[in-house]
Formats: sequence, C-alpha cells, structure tokens
Amino acid sequence: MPSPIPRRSPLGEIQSAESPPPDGQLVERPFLTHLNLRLHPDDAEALAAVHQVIGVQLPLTPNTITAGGDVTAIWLGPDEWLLLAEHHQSDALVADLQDALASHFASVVDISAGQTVIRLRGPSTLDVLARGCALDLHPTVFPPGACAQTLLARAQALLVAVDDTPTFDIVVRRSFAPYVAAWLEDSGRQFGLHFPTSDTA
Amino acid sequence: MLLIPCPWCGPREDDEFTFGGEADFPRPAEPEALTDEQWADYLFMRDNRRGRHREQWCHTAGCRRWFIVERDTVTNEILGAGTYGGSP
Amino acid sequence: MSQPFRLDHGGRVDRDTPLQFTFDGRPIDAFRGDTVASALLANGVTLVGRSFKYHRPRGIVSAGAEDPNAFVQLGHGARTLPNRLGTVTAATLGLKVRHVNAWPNLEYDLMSAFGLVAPFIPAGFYYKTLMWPRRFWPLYEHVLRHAAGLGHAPTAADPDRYDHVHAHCDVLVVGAGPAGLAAAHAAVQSGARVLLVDEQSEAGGSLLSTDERVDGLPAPQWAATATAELAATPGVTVLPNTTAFGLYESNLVLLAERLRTDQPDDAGSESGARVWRVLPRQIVLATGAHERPLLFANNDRPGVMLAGAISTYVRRYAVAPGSRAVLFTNNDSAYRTALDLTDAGVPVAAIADVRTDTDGDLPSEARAQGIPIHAGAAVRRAHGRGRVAAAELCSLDGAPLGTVECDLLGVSGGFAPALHLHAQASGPTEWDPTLAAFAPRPGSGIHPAGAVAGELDLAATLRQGTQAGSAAAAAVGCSNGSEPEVPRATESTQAPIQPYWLPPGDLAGAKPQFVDLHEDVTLDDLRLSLREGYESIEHVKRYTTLGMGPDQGKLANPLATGVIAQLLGRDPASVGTPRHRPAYSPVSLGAIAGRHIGPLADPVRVTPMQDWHEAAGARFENVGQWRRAWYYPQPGESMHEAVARECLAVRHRVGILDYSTLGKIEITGPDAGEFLDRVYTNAWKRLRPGRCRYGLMLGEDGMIFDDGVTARLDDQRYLMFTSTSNAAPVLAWLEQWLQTEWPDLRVYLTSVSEHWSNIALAGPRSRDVLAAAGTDIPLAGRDFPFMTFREGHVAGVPTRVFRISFSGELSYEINVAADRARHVWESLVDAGRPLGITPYGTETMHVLRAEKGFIIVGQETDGSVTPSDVGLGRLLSRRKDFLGKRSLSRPDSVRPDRKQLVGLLTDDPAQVLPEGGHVVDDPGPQRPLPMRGHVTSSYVSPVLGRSIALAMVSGGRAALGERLYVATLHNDRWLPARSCHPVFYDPAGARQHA
Ligand SMILES: [Zn+2]
Repeated sequence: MPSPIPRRSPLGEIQSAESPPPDGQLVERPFLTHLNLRLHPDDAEALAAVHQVIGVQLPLTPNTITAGGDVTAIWLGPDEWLLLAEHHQSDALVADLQDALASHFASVVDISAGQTVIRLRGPSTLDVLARGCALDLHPTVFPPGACAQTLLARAQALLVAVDDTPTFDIVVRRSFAPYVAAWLEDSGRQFGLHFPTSDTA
Repeated sequence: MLLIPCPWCGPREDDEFTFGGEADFPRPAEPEALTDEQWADYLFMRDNRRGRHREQWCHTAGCRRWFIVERDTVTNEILGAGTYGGSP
Repeated sequence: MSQPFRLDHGGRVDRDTPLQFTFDGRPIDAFRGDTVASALLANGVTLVGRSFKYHRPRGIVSAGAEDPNAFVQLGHGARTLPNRLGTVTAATLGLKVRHVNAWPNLEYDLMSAFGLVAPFIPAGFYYKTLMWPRRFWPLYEHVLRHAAGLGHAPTAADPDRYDHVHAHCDVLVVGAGPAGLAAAHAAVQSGARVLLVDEQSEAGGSLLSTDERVDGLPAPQWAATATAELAATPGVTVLPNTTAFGLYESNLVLLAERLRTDQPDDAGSESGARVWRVLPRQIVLATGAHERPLLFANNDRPGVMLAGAISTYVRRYAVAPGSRAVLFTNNDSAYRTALDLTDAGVPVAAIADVRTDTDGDLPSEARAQGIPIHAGAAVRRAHGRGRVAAAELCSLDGAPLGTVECDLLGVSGGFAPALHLHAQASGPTEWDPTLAAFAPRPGSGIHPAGAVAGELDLAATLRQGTQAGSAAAAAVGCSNGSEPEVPRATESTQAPIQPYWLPPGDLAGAKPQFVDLHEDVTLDDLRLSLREGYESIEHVKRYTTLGMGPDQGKLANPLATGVIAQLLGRDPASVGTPRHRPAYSPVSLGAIAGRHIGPLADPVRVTPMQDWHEAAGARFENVGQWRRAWYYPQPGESMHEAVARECLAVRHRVGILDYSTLGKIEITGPDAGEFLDRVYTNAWKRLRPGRCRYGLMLGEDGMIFDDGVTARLDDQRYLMFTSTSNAAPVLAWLEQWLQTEWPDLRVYLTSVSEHWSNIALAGPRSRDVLAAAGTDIPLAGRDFPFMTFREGHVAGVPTRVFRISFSGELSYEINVAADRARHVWESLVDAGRPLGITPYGTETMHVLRAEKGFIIVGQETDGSVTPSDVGLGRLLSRRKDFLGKRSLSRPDSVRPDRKQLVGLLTDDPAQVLPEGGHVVDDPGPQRPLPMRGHVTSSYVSPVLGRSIALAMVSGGRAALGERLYVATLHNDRWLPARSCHPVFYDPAGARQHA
C-alpha cells in the first residue's frame, strides 16, 4: 500500500496529487521511478524478460536510450541500465522485474529517492550546457536518443538528449542537485533562464 | 589535457577517469605460498617503462568500466585501448 | 583640433563617433575604432611608461600584442585591471587609463634616480647583491616592489562574473588576417564547422593596414565582406576581441574573449571576459609574425617603433606617430613604411639598410620618391632623452655617416613567426634561414599558414590560407568535391633579408643596447651571462630575466636567439628559443576562475535534513564535499558546553544524529558472500540473513583502508556501509577487483548511498522514542537483538532499521528513502520530545565513539596501520585468503615495536592533549628526542568528567600504564600522561546490548 506521507524532492518540490506537470525551460522532474538494472547483455532470455515487463528493448549500443510506453531505458554501461518510469510505483516495478529475472544473474535496485531529473528545454539549452559540459552536444554528434554520463561543472551527471527542441534531461544525484541547480541558474541567467520556484524564493 | 578513449564511450577528457597503475600485474593465486620477496615484488615493483606502457584506467565519471590503455610515456600518444571483456 | 597627429583622412576609425577617455587623469580625444595606443599617439603622447629596472622613459613600440612597453592599468577600484596592453585595448568612452611603472608620476620619476646612481645594474644583481644582510630584505623588498611597478591588483573583491564555455568545431582558425580569412572561407566551403578567432576588435589583420587589393577590392573592404559572409553562414562562429592564449595536449585551445568593449569604463564590467575551452578537430594557425627590433645604442627611446607598426598607425588609424622619420632595416618591408609615411605627408629623412644591394621593387620606388637611402649602413645611436631627437648613422665598418634629426625611428629586423601557440604544445619548429627565425612545421592536426609559416607576400598568403583551410576540412572528412577558389592579389617579390643581430665592430660597444625592453635586459647582460657560463638559452633567460615579463619576450626572444648565436659563434638553430608557455598574453585571474567561485566553487552536498539543521541553529563542518551538522548550540552556549550537553543526553537519555552521509553499496549475486570473504578480513558466507557484522577492508599492503557494518539482506544480497569520505573510493576499489581480477564472480555492485538516508537514534531511551514514533517492528530485545536489522514502518514510512551502535549505547540506525527522511526525522524528534531527545552533531559523535575506543579510519589510521595495530586482530580470518592478508606476515608487519592503539589519561584531568601531539618517554635534554608515537584523538569526556585521548604508541599495548609525555605547541611544555586500555567507558559493552 502506498505511503500517505508526501515525498520531498531534492530541489524542494513536495509531491501532491494536484500539482500540475512541471512546465518551463528549466524545471525539476521530481518523483520519477529510477531503477538501476544489471544483467549480462549476452543473456538473451533476461533481455527478453525485461522487455516483457517494461515494454521496450534495453539499449545495447553504448550511450543511447530506448523509450516507449512510460519507461525510458538508458545505457549506463555494458551490463548496466537506468530505467526511468513516469507512472509506476517503484515497488511494483521492482517486484515485477525481480520476478521476471528470478532465475537469472541480475540485479534490480530502486534508487528513486537518490537522484532527480532536471529538464532543460528551449533555444539556449546547448549554450547553457556548454558552460559546464566538455562534450560536443551538437545534434550531428549527440542527436535525440543519445545519452552520456559525464561531468557537468564539478558534479557527475547523466545527460539525455530528449528531442530536437532541443530538450535535455540531466540526471543528478540527490545531494548534488542543489549545486547543479544553482550552477544551471547562474549559467542560464544571461539567457533569462531560472527555475519557476525561484521567482518567489 | 589528455583525451582518453574509453572503449565504451569513446574519447573523453582525462578528468572523467581514474588512473589505476600499470596493467598486467595479476594477483598471485596463492599468496601464502610466496616468499616475502616474491610478495613484495607483486606489491611494490612496477616496470615504469619509457615508451609503450600498458595501464589501467577507470571511466569513473562515465560508464564505471575499468579498461586498458596503451600509451607512449614519452609522447603521451595513445596507441590503443581494450576492455576486460566484451566489446561495444 | 585636439589630435595634432591625426591625419586628415583615411584610416578605419569612425570620425563621426568621437569619444574621450583619460590617461593619468588627462583627457584624451579619440574616435571609435581607436586603440588606447593609437589615440595616445594621435594626441602626441609618446611617453607611456617607465622601464622595469632603470625607469627609463618608454613609448609605444608596436600596434599589437607583442608590445613590451604599452602596459597600462585600466579602470579603478574593485574592477581595475593591471598590465593590459594599450596597443590592443579599444579606446572607449570614459575609460580610465593609467601608467603602471613610474613613481610618483610619469614625467618626474623618482625611481629613475636608481638609473642615475647605478646606471646599469648587471644581470644577476638581485641574486648577488640583495642576498645580504638578510635583515634588510624587508626594506629591499619594499623598495623593489614599489620600483618594479607592473600595475597593482584590485584590493576589493571582484564584483564581476566571468563566463566559461566549452566549444567544439571541425576547424579552429586562429587569426583573421589574410591567411586566416582565406582558410576559414575554404573550410566553410567544404562544409566544416568553423570557429574563427582574432585578438583585434576588427578582423583583417595586416589587410587593415595595406593599400593592396584583394579580388579587386581594397584589402580592408575585402576583409570586412569576407568576415560578414562567414559570420552569416550557419555552423560558423566568428569571435573578434578574442585571444587564443594557450594550446595544450590533445590540441585543446583556450581563448579569452574580451566583452562589452563599447561600455564606459568597461574594464572587467559584468561578464568582462569569457574563456572558451575549445577542442577543435583541426587547427589552422594563422597567427602572423612579429617584426624584430634591431640593436643600437638607446634603441629604447620613445619614438623608436617597429616599421610595420608605423604603417599600421598611418593606414589603419590615420595617425602619424611622428613628424620626421628615419628608418633602419635589413629587409624590404621598411620601404613600404617609408612610402606609407610619404603618402601621409610625413617626411622620411633617411633609410639605413644594412644590405648593400637595395635594388628591389620597393627600394626603387622609395628612391624614386627622393628618400635618401644609405646602403650598407646602420643606426649607431639614437639621440634625445625623453624622445628620439636624431639618429646617428654609420657604415657597417663604423665610419660616421652623419646625424639625422627625427622624432620617429622605424626599425625592421625581419619577421619572426608568431609560433607561440604551436610551440606551447611542443609542436615541431625549425630554423628557417631565409627568415632568420624559427618557423612551425605542420604538427598533428595543425596547419600553419601565412606569415606564421614564413610567407610574407599577400597573394601567396591567400593561396596558402586557402590550402590550409581545405586540408584541415579534408582531414576531418569534409569536402564538397571542388577546389576552393583562392582570393586574388597582386604577386610581388621581395629581396631576401640580411640577418643583422650584433652591430659589427665597435658599433657593438655603444651603450645601452636593449634586447628586452620590458625586462631591461641589455646586450651587455647577455654577454655577462655567457661569460659566466650560462650559455643555454634557458639559463640565459633565468640569469638575465630575458623574456620573463608579461609580454613573454615576444620581441626579445627571437632577437636574443640570433644575438646569442653570434656571440657564441654558433648556428641559431642550435641555440633555440626559451620554452613557450601559456598564456600568450595576460589573462585575468577572474576569467580563469570563471563561475567556479563563491558558492559554486565546489559542490556543497547536503542531506534531506539540511533545512531542519539550519533552523535548529546547527553549526556545520565540511566533510569532503558534505556539509554536516557539527553541533547545535543553544542561545549563549559555547561549543564546549553544547557538545557536553549533547554527549550527556545520549549517555543518559536519547540523541538523534543525521548519519545520511555514510556510503551504502548493495552487493547482489550468487557469489556475493565469496566476494565479501575476499575483500573483508573476516568471514561472511555464514552470516544469516537479517544479521549485521562489522568488517575491515585492507589494501594489498595489509593496511586498513575502510571499515563499516555490512548486513545480509537475503540469500544473495548484502548492504555494505562505508565511511563517509570513502564512499566513492571503496566502490571504485571493489569494482576494480571484480572487473579486472575476478570477472568470474557473479556479483553486481550498486551505490545506494543517496537513496537511503540514515537517522541514528542513540541512548537508553532510543527504543522508547522509536515506539512512540509508531512502528510495526517488534522492538523487544529478544525480538530485535543487537547486530540485526528489521524491515518495517517507522512513522508510516517503509524503513530498514539496523540495531548497530557507534556510541556504545542502545542504538538504532534507521534507513529511510531520502524523499521521506525529513518526515521520519521530524516524527522521531516530536515523539522524543517528552523523553528529552537531543539532536547531536559530528563532534559529539566523535566524543562518544572515542569514549568507546572505536577507531575512525583516517584519524586513528593513516595508511600505515594494520588491524592488529588497533587491536582488531580478532577480525583476521585464518581460514581464508583476503586482500592484504599476505602482507600481515611480512617482517615489518609483525615488529613488536609497531605503533599500537592505546588510551592516554593526563595526570591533570582538566588538561586536553593536542591532537597530533608527539608522544615521548622522557622530555629530557637529549635532542632529537626519540619518538614513541602521536595522539590521534583527544576530547573532554563529559560522562567521565575528565579528558581522554587515543594515541598510536610504539609497543604501547604491552606496556599499558606506562608514563608518557605529550608535546604541546609551547616550547618545552610537556603534558604528563599514562597509557591505558583504549576503551574508557563501559568496557564490557553492556549498554549497547540493552
Ligand atoms: Zn566509458
């Protein structure tokens, strides 16, 4: 049974049924389900079992994602993925995956509370990211569907190119989120970017 | 700044990596069977070659994989990279 | 008209936009498009500074980044910028410019008395003279610093923010002169992503100061059109006002872009500079060349300028830098300057050319203009004190050729490629005898073109630039299949230069002849250096300070190479140049720091309870990047009082600690137990699910690396706690063994440090608090014994509760998903209020664990401590191998006199030993004193009512109770103490089992 206690995101969002989906050029996407998945990429049965549960194939090409339904599967390593899910209860998804992988050497770990997603969208997205990310994020090199774990300023971050607006999702660890958020606002100031909540803060 | 070719992620800047020392010093299967001198040899002695050098790197800020880089220690030219298993 | 040396027409300045700035408070009229230097010259200001060592008057020498004299201070207050070059600083409305190197003022310089008393201070003077007597050093330093000038740093914090940007491109073109523009054009035609940068405010380089034509257009107009076309092309970025100042390994290039040059007093204003960090796939180096000065006596007088710079001031800025000129040259280019001056109505009184053959196209043209040309002649000496008044000419064998009056003396010793960037990254260079200079050879991914490649003819430069641009594009796979068009210019031929380093015969005796104007290094200094055996160019540099100024010896070094070669009778190729290092020209520290300042200097990591701690008045301490609550003082309480209160609360009632920062690793797989057996010293496979065990992790050298509790979650899953600071290193260490040595082990590691917050309840009432907060976990001792964990709800939230203790009290560590941790924390605090629950911080945690003799890795241990040293030998399994085990039987690991963990009790219970204090047997008179060890932890123990300390003491465990002394920071004050067992409180451990 889901706990009635509201959740708090690293950037101070408080979960509620009424809160509208975040909208803006720089927003937190709090309370998503984040699962760390490990299995051997040669284990075809395990891959198929996961596909069955989440509805998408796990990406086997390094630094790419697959998305479908409400689960995004992100390549983290040759035997490691991050599953981001919108509407699932993490406990249920963990249980389903663990059941499906029960006879395989695999690991499914819920890390939802340990990280968050910051979404950057709009014409200045690449300019803002270029202030702290050494990677070439030009669409010819880093098209939608590409991802990379790298450094953003002085924090580790997972960057996902979502679409060609351009939209990027930045997955950061919980304790680094305030630093990354402050850094994005500082870099984005010259482009008029800020988090919606900082108007009133 | 050294661009290090992660076999999985491609070339990345050196601050994403951790250096793991010279490669090819496998842990002895039976440490207790070794003399003190043999154990010290495994523990402390490295070749530290001038020129071609095989070394371990971990893509710490990236895919977290350990891999092997062959580097010329004079020119810093990177001559190749390989995984500890699997290939992209 | 207030600009007496401004020409009536011509130039690239915008005469419709006049503006005014100040130089040393004096108003200077200028036009938009002027540099500070061109405006000063237009106003007849020739004296811009005093020299570094002798305080000789100095004027503007060049029109670019190579100038050794034109350093000025810009702006004022917190935004002032020292050591900016007036030759590359745009003149802007209201800008405050000051000289940097004269005291009390430029005209009356007290420090030039230094020059009068000791007319020429020999190289090495500072090393030799000012070494003794040492007690005068503060005085020397004061006077020298005052004398040295070099501008001053702002004394207030910089209010500005500086931008940093990463950029990528297929082809980076450095320099937007003819070669750079042609290269960029060709690369763009091939479809490459191009970044074109130039240090000047306007692209064009030498095209801006020539009357030649390109593709039928006047050169400046062609440059403007080509630049505008490039800037409008998608995929192309053109950055003016941008200096490429560093080239590093992997062809990483750093650029400094000066921003907002149109604003009044713009020096360092909001986003005063932006540093670009560019990783291009190919580089076209089109950085041009620097004209070389020539040696003669008083060659440093204001009014002595590079000939090419004179042309630039005349043609680009419409300024006549003098009213009557003499030129001194060893090549044809100065004749173009002569023609430019004649064009502008400035008479050229003489040209001295060291060559005997002066029949080329340009010399013939000059001769046709009626300019007197002295072939095989040199300038022997410049006359005049504050400014050149005449040039004394002579033939190369010393025969006088008369003294010619002039206020402008243009010199040209040929052109040295500006290969600095190329050479910074150890790009290959070679001596080019036709240039008498070092030139770059193409390096990996680097394509030199134009003057930097030794090409001085415009038509050939355009051709070479085009080739370099398309070659660079082709190297990254860009090509549109057709040959790029080469911009056309008239071909011309120039006669070869004749290297002229050292004035021949007795000409060389005339003094002083300056090799490095900024550093006041003379020909005699180089001679002295060589005479004293410092012959390597690097030694000459260090002995004389050659090239060590903020101008980096751009003019001096190419000259010095030839001079030293001739003095030594060697080939210049073998003399070389001093190592080129970034930065090519000064970059402000603020620009280098970028936005990594203040709160963004480094990540500050906080737990979900941070706001609560702040509201509760906590003081914080930094633990790595973490900010942790240190102690919670109540109003009026000292730290000591607060910590004592917190300690007693835990011992007598209950305390609550935010311990979320611990590292947590989930270890999954059929071989997880085997893996733990290998990395921990003790045995794990038989630990039952639901139970916890303390583990020690060693390096292969047998030394303690980390410690912590690990719990068995189920058959194939364990949860490992690591110390806060070792969370990342431990995970990397475990992964390294798994991936590189034991790939056969079926184990996966996942960090869950950030998912799980950890709240510690400690104290005899902690069970009551947990019950009061509401939990479905049975808490009775038999249901939930020490060193086990249970899953269940606390305050309505799913948790995993561990009954483990770092305080020695009854204690629960509650793991809760971080997004509901704040709720659980607050619920526990509320539930505990009637029981006197007290939040405690890291300081109290340290006191409590020290009372129990629990070690902290990194405090009791330092990478040289084995488990037995700290009394944990019982954790070493005899039945299995583990990392580091073999090292524990090495002779050094079993020495009886190893330092071992003991407790120390001072004779005076009120005395607290200094942490780190040396421990000795007897502080007698013998020196040095034999060391027994050191104090690792020391506190006041409130529950014991006295001080306690832990120490590592050689052979200490076998001699418990012995008399020892601990050093203090006060001379010869030693604190007597006795060693004891390191567990001070509840040695039987009854309390944690309650
Ligand atoms: Zn990688």
